[in-house]
Parts: sequence; C-alpha cells; structure tokens
Amino acid sequence: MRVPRIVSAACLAAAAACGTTGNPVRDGARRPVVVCLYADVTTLDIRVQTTRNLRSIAGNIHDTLIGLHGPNLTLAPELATSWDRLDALTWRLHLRRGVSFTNGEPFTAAAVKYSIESQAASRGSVHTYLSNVATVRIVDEFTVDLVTREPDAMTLRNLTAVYVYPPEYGRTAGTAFSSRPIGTGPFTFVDWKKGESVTLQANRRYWNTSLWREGPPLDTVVFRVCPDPSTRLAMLLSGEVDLVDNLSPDMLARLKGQPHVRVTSFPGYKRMFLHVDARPGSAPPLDDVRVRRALNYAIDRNAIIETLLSGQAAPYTHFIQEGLTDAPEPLAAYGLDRARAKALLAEAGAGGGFSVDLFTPAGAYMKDKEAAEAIQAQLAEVGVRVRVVPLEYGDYVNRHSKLQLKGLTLNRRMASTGDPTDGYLYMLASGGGAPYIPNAHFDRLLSTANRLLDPAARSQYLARTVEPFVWNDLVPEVSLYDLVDSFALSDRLIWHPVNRQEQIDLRGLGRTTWLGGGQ
Amino acid sequence: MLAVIARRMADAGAVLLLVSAAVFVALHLSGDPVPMMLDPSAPASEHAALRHELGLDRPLHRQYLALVRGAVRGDLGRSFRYGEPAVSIVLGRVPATLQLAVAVLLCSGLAAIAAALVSATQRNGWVDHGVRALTAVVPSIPAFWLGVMLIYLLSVRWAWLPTSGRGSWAHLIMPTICLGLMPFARLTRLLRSSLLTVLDASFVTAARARGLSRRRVLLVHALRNAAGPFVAELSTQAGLLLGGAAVVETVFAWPGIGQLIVQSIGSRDYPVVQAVVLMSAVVFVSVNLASDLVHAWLDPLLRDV
Repeated sequence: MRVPRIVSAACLAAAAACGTTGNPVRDGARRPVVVCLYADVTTLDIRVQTTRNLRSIAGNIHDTLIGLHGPNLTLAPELATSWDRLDALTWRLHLRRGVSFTNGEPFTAAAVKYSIESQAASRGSVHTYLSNVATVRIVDEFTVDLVTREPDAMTLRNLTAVYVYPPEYGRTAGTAFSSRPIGTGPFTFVDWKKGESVTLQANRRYWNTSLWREGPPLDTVVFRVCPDPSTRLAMLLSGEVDLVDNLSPDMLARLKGQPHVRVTSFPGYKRMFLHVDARPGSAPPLDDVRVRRALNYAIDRNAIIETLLSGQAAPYTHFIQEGLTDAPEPLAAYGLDRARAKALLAEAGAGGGFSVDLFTPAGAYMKDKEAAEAIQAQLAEVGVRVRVVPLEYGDYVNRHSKLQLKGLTLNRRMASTGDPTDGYLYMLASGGGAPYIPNAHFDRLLSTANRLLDPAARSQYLARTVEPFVWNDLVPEVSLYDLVDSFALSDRLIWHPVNRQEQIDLRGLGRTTWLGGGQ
Repeated sequence: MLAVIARRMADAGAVLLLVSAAVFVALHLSGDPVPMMLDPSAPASEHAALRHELGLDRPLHRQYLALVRGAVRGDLGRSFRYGEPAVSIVLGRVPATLQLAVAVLLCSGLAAIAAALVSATQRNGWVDHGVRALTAVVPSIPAFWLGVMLIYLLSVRWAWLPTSGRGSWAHLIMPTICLGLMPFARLTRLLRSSLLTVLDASFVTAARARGLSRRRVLLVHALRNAAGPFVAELSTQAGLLLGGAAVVETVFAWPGIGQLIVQSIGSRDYPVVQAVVLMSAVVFVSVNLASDLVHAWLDPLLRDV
C-alpha cells in the first residue's frame, strides 16, 4: 500500500514551515538584553527570602543608602550622601534630595525608617544585617539617626545590603510587594513569569544622572531562568542570551574562539577551603593544631588549580580575603612541603597516619567532588587515609550547620558585605554559623575589633593582631584557593563591573554600537 | 452498582491516605529545610524561631493530621520557598506540563498509528524492518543526551529553533521529540502486533470478501479492533507525562511540574512536594476509578465486588 497522501502532505507542510521560520532567535535588532539565571527566584522581596539570584534582580530595582564600590569594596554614597558619627551608638545619615520612587512617592527620612524597620523585622536573612539596630530616628525630612544597641564597626557596612522601599506602597501592598516591587533604582519592574523570566525596564528618571549621561544604554532587560549549564551555553552561542554568569572551567574552554562571545574574569570572593572539626575529642587528631598545620603543608594547591580548574583560581595567604583590610601583615604561606607535613604529624603522635572523613557536596561548588578526590590522593602521600563522603546539597547544609560533620568538610565562604569579619563570624565566633573550632581568646580579639569604630584602627587591629593569630596559631582551616568569577557576554554588550560582588549589577552594562538600528 | 461505586471509592481513599503517609515520612526523613532557608551564619535561636513559625517543631503525628485535615479542605499549606499556597503554585505549573503532555501524546500517538499501519500492512518489507529497528533502538537513547544534541544542532549550529523556554510552537518541537520517542516506540510496537493479530482474523477476510476496500477494512474495522492495548498504553503514558518530565524540563528550561518538584525536593519545600505528589495521586486515582466504573457499567461480569 502506498504511503497515504495525507502523510506526504503533512511532511511537505512541516518542511515548508521549517523553511519559513527563518531565525526566530537573531531576528529583531531591538530585542531586549537577556541575562541568564541558573535558578528561578521564589519572591521578588528580599524580606521574604534573600538569595543571590534575587539580589541580581532586586539590586537593580532598589537602591541602598550606602554602596560598595571598586575592587576593595569601599563605602560610597548612594541614597545617603554623607554620614557622621555622633557618639559610640549613633550614626547620622544625610539623605539625597530630589529622588522619587517610580510610583511617585518621594524619598525622605520616612522611607528610610520604614525600610530599615521592615527589613529588621523580616524573615529573610537581610535582617541579620540589622540585628544591632535599636531605633531609627527621623531628625528632619532628609536626616536620619541610626541608634545601635552596642558600639559596632559594621553598622555602615551592613547598610550596603539593606534596600530602600517606598513606605506608602510598602504598607498598603503587603505581600503583593513580593510580586510587584517598587524602588528608586536604575530599573523598574515590568513582569514576572514564574519559573520563566523576570522583565525589567530602564528607569528614565533615575537620580544618578552622572552614571548614564546620555540616557540609559539599555531599555529592557529580561532575566531568563535556565537551570541546565549546557543549555545556558547553547543560548549564549545561539545569540538568545547576552550574559551568562557562574561559568565553569569546561564552559570557558568551549567559549574560547567563539566569534560573538567575550569572557570576562576577575578574582571574586569565593574562597574554597576545608573546614576542620577541631572540637576537642570530636574528630581526633584534628583537634591538635600541629595536625592541622601538617594538612596545610600536604596539599598541592597548584596542581588542583591547573588541572581541575584550568587556572581559574589562586591560592591565598590570609584568612581574610585580600583587599578587605588595609595593611595585611605578610604571613607565611602554606605551600606544598610533604617532609614538613610528615614531621609535624610525627610530632603530634600521628606519625603512623590516621583516617578521616572528607565531606563534600556534589556539584554545588565548582568542581567540589573532584577537588575532594584530588585532596584524598594528596593526603594519602603523607599517610592520611581520607574517605570522601559526597552529600546531597540540602543534606550537606543541614548537617554542617548542626555541627554533625566530624572531620574535614569542603566548604566555600564569601564576603557578603565586604567586611573582613564576615568569615570570622561564620566560622570562628562562638555564636556564629558553624563554630567547629571554639576558642575563647579569639572571641575576645573579635569583640575588641568590633568595638574599634575608627575604620583605620579596626583594619590595622585585624591585620596586625587578629589575622596572625588566626592564620599561624589557630589554623582553623586547610586553605585551598579563591575562585575566579567568570562571565560570558555576547558582543552586543560591554561591561564595567561596579564592584567585585557576584550579583549582576546592571549599572555596569552598556551596549556596543554593533547593533544596527541604534539603541 | 452502587455497592461497586462505594467499594471503589473507599479503595481510592485508602490509596490516597497511604500515599500521603509515605510522602510525609519520606520528606521528614530527607532532612530539615530550616538551615537551607537561613543565612549560614544565623545563630541557633533563629533556626528554632523559623522551625516554630513553619510548624515543624510540633510532634510528627500532629503535623501529619494537620496535613490530612488540610488536604480534605484542599489546603496543602504554604510553600516554604514561595510563601504562597502550595496548591496554587502547582496549579500554576500545570498549563506548561499539560501543553507538553498533549503535544507529546498527539505527536507520538499519530506517528505510532502511521508507523504501525505501514509496518503491519507491509509485513517484513523494508519499512517494517526499519520501524522495528527504530522502536528497538529508540528507548535506549537517553532523553538528556538527545536534548543537548538537538539543542546544539538545531539551535546553535543551524539556528532553526530557539534553544529553550516556553513561548511559540517552535519552542515545543525539541522537548516534544525528546519526550515523545519512548511513547512512540512503545505505542508503535503494541499497535503493530495487535494489528497483525487482527488482520489475520476471519472477520477481516470476510469483510474483504464482501467487497469493502482495503483502506476501509484497515482503517475502520481492523484499527478499531486493534485499538485496545494502544489506548491502554496511551493512558498510562498520559499519566506519566502529567507527572512531569524532570530531566527534559530542566534541559529545555520548560516551566512545568517536573522542574518544580526537583527544585522543591532539593530545597526541602515540604508543602510543595506533598502538593505535587498528592495532586498527581488524586489525578491517577480518579482516572483509574472512572475507567473502572465505566468498565463495570459496560460489562456486568466485572461488577464482582
């Protein structure tokens, strides 16, 4: 029996349709700029939940009072033009005049008070930045006093993570704010298709006229959700997407030599290390500082960086990320020195070697499991028998925060407010996130540092007193490397990052003139 | 007949209760959602406060009873991640999943009918061999690999189709191909073998002898009689597709239920996971119930309670 005519007709129709589709992707010179997100956001309000992806979106809709600028994350005026310290507990902020929210509400001290109070009382992790704020006092329309419970050097730093919201809309909208945010920022919210995309449009009345002298370079920006890394890459290569972050070394290799794609890398603040359970008796002999030093000498960081990460990382020689303190005291680096490692182990009575578990998430951090396996092989050479335990990410976070991981844990820390003590608070302070190495002397040093309100004095104290103690005497971690942040851009865009944080700040994006049709 | 209905509904209720218990236990064994929702440096007091706010510090049996009571009212709690009612989040994803499921069923069903018809009527011809080889090879192609290859060829290399996401009909093509291969293979083989059986039956010879055209005999009489296993398999595939195809949805950034459940499990969003599982169970059980009742009504022999 012949192939039925209807089947052949259908085939012809399909073929014709394919031909006339043209390129549904590259057509349209004025199509919006598209940024890839590796996961959807669950709300557009950081007071509900604060995630990195959300900050990439919300940070372009809202401004903060104070910003972090430049490679060293220095404090810079945003909606607050200047500030003075009135006494140990009070900061006075002078606010910028002539700014309005995109719904017409004026930016005044009332907005600041509402914003700080609602974020301090919120469930999102943003409230941790305001835990020391006791009250916000309105002095006049453009002056606000911030009163803290205790003298705290981090107060202004913490404000860089706190957004400014319109008080009238914020109060009346309630939970609707999560799906329709309003701010003073360079972009306004247009639309959110859950699970798919968030669309923003340039705010033509943005107060920072020095930033966009000839008007906003971008009109519409779409954040598209795409969870699969190879699909993200395909989107970039096909021209559907203009900016992809979170690139792995393998993806970088594939992008080399691609005509319409540029890759930008710069050292970020993602620091990979082995968190050591040094609680007395918990995971012996890790509680002996000589053993911890030995482990530091037994790792060949450069080998991991070259082979696993294609050079996209760098070893470090301080506990605090570079650039965050003014005058780092030169500290001895822990380079590869197997002889010294073995000697230290012998001195600590572990010359015959010992067994230890190495917990790692599988795929949550860049090449985490592979690095763990490399470390296992390296430590075997000094007699340490490592058992790699890969954990599903949720399980890993859970057990790590409950201090249940007895052994070594592959971990990553970042500098969220640019304050040097972020890492200390997370790892070492007794009341902190994951104190696997409680130490009373360190607690005393840290509270002394926090009472030094003069930034220069504090920086010096941290660099000269706290750092050497932590790095040389306490040895709370096995240091690994700092990851490099890589972004890939289509050549429609140029980018001058405002700072080194890894959320996407659209203020640094501009168009090249390659697009025919202007814009 | 009423007794049949009552008995079947009681069975359905028991199944749903079992499902709810199973998913509840599995979720609570899988870990604590609270550390994932808080900043790493949050102190223990905050963990306790959040646990209390989410109702996770109540005894387990009370939490389960609250789940069952709410389920009966149609309230499956609020998502930990989104803050919105879990039911509405799931329902929000249904259109995308439904669109993909319908496209897959239509395309694979029609393609299977065409392939089986040609294959059965030209038995042992080259088309038949081709179709049989295809249906043998196709189930071994991993959907993930196929998806990535299709994207590379059709979007990056030749720029015929968009890479991912949901939008125009062009966005539907590649996910449908990836998801549709397995159903196509199974449906084709089933229909082919039942067609072969039917075409050998005496009523077909009798119909031809009466002068009916080959086409009419094939399409009207033979196909209808061979349709039984095909329809059964089609409804099984429908059920599976409506549950969401997590891998394909992830590769193609298709905002369906599959992606939702994977993300919700990863972040221990209990209410959403429970909502997806329970709602899918309700759909399955209802479809089965309806089909059972229809069969029982049609065939009195099946009314044995």
